[in-house]
Amino acid sequence: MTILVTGAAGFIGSNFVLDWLAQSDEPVINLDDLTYAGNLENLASLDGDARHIFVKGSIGDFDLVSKLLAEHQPRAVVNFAAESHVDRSIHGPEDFIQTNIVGTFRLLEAVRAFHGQLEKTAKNEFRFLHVSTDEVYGSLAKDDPAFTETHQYEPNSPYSASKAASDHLVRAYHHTYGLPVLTTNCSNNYGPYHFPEKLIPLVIHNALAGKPLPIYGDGQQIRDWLYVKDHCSAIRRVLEAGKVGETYNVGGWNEKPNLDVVHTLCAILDELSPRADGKPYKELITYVTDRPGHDRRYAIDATKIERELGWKPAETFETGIKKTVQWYLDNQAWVANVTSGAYQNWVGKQYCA
Amino acid sequence: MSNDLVGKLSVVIVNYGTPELTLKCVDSILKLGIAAVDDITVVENCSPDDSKSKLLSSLPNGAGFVVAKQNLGYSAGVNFGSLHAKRDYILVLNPDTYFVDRSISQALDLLVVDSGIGLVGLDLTYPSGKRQYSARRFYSVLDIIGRRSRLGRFWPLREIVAKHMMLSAWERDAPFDADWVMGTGFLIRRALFEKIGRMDESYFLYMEDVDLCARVWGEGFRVICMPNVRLIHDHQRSSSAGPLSGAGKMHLASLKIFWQKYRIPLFCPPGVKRISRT
Ligand SMILES: NC(=O)c1ccc[n+]([C@@H]2O[C@H](COP(=O)([O-])OP(=O)(O)OC[C@H]3O[C@@H](n4cnc5c(N)ncnc54)[C@H](O)[C@@H]3O)[C@@H](O)[C@H]2O)c1
Repeated sequence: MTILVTGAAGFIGSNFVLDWLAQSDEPVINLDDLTYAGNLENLASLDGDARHIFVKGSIGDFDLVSKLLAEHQPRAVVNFAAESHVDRSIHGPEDFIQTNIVGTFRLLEAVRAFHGQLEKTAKNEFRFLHVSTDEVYGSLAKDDPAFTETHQYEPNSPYSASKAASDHLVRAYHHTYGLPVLTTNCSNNYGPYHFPEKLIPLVIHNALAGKPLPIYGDGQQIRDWLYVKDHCSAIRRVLEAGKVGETYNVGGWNEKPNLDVVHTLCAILDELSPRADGKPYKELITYVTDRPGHDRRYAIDATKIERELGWKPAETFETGIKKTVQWYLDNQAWVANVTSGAYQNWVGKQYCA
Repeated sequence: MSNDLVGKLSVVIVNYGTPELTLKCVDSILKLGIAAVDDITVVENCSPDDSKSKLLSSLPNGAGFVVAKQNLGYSAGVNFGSLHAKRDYILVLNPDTYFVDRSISQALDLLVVDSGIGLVGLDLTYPSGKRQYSARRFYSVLDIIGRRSRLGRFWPLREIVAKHMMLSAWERDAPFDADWVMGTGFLIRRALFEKIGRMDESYFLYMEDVDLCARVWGEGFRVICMPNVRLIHDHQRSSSAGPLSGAGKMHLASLKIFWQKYRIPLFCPPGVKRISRT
């Protein structure tokens, strides 16, 4: 048996593949278009491993996906491929519409055709797992209850709107065509191989370089944080035991204001990699104008997946964030590799204007 | 002649430091419709240069890409890539080759109708059109002296060399049995390749093709060569630099391994039946 994983050169997808092959011998076909966010170096530890084959290409390429499905006959497709960075979606929503909506649609079409011609057992056992975000639910006020799976979709950014649209398509392919789908909506991830445009790796990266640590607005945007490996174990669990057609919230039970996250990171860095001049890292914090439509709070109620599938995160924020900082300290070569010219331009445009 | 090659062949190309050539080879396969893009697997055999990023940015979408952990030699690279071959026949190509026509379909046709053929060697040709005579007899000691030294130019060695290179067989312009064909470009039945244990990875470079053909014969299948089934081989002949060059040394090391595995007579070319495993 084989699984097809899309977007597996990205942050979460590559962690998923590494963890998958650490606990199973089932081969993985990795379909990724290698956008700025895709980096095959994330999977360098799989060099020489015949269980992983990389195929460059887009989920939106119907012919290519159809051929891959016919050739490899996967028992499941796990869809990570997406444009994933909210800030980028504000500057240029086009790619988000193309990949997240149109791309997912074409992928679904190819999978539907493939699924339609499978024989009975294979057809029943096949799964299409769509990886989505809690941002589709919109923003919460300070004391609102956390999002449950039945919360209305109220996306506020082009990113979350495009993910919401893809979730709806996935749902529709189940109800209309009987495609055996599963959807997971997860809170903010952090951990190894996180591209340093996102808050946690950005702060670690800038702090180590002695650069300012940018905080949007008052830094009181609240997010729920989940260690990426917990997200991966949740996806494995849903793939294995999730009820077809259902959606599952995945979260870490770790609501934190961004400013607290940055303070925590500074404190860990003070301990693990103190600055040469002995000053605390938090002195590098600088406040920048908040971005438009910045949601105030996301919080996720992950009771259902625990109750129905027995999944719980293994890491607390404290243990996970420490592992993450340590990973970045141990993998500076990886960081240097991904922070190329294009990345520099992007960060410059975002935070220094 | 079959019009539809696509869907029958899996292609394996092992890249080592020649991304441009690899891309050119892949390009020719796709342009001529020899195989579908998703039936091509490119092995990045841990090149010391920027092969990996070059290939990733320029390989056509859909081609399989696998990366070796370290360069364990050409055979190991082929084996690694062949694990992803799904079709009935595997086409193994050096990166410094490319197609200029679809004559390979004749080779495929022959493999399909004649189940006794296990492996087909292609007619390797320099870009100038000059033939490389890519089918050989098994080596005798004299062949090696003849090919490896200046003595090869003089009679009687010259005739022995001509025999070793099977020059007369080519003149008939028809498929002929060969003791072995060069591993630069060949077609093999996938089931057979898997059954005989793929390439022998104890050879780093050179002789792995001789060894493979010996095992194909040993399994009761024929090895044939097909004149005019053209594959351009833009070959910088590194191993002709003499026995003490790097390539020459590697060749001799491979010969040693071969000699340990098989008994080779001193003077007459052994022929298919006379070569035996020790
Ligand atoms: N990062 C988070 O905190 C988070 C939280 C919840 C859900 N998600 C979702 O998880 C998924 C993965 O997120 P990530 O953080 O790993 O993102 P990422 O940006 O790091 O990786 C996305 C990957 O998809 C690839 N890709 C982009 N467009 C493609 C296309 N058209 N075809 C094939 N591949 C394409 C990219 O090359 C990249 O490798 C996304 O769907 C995202 O919405 C992320």
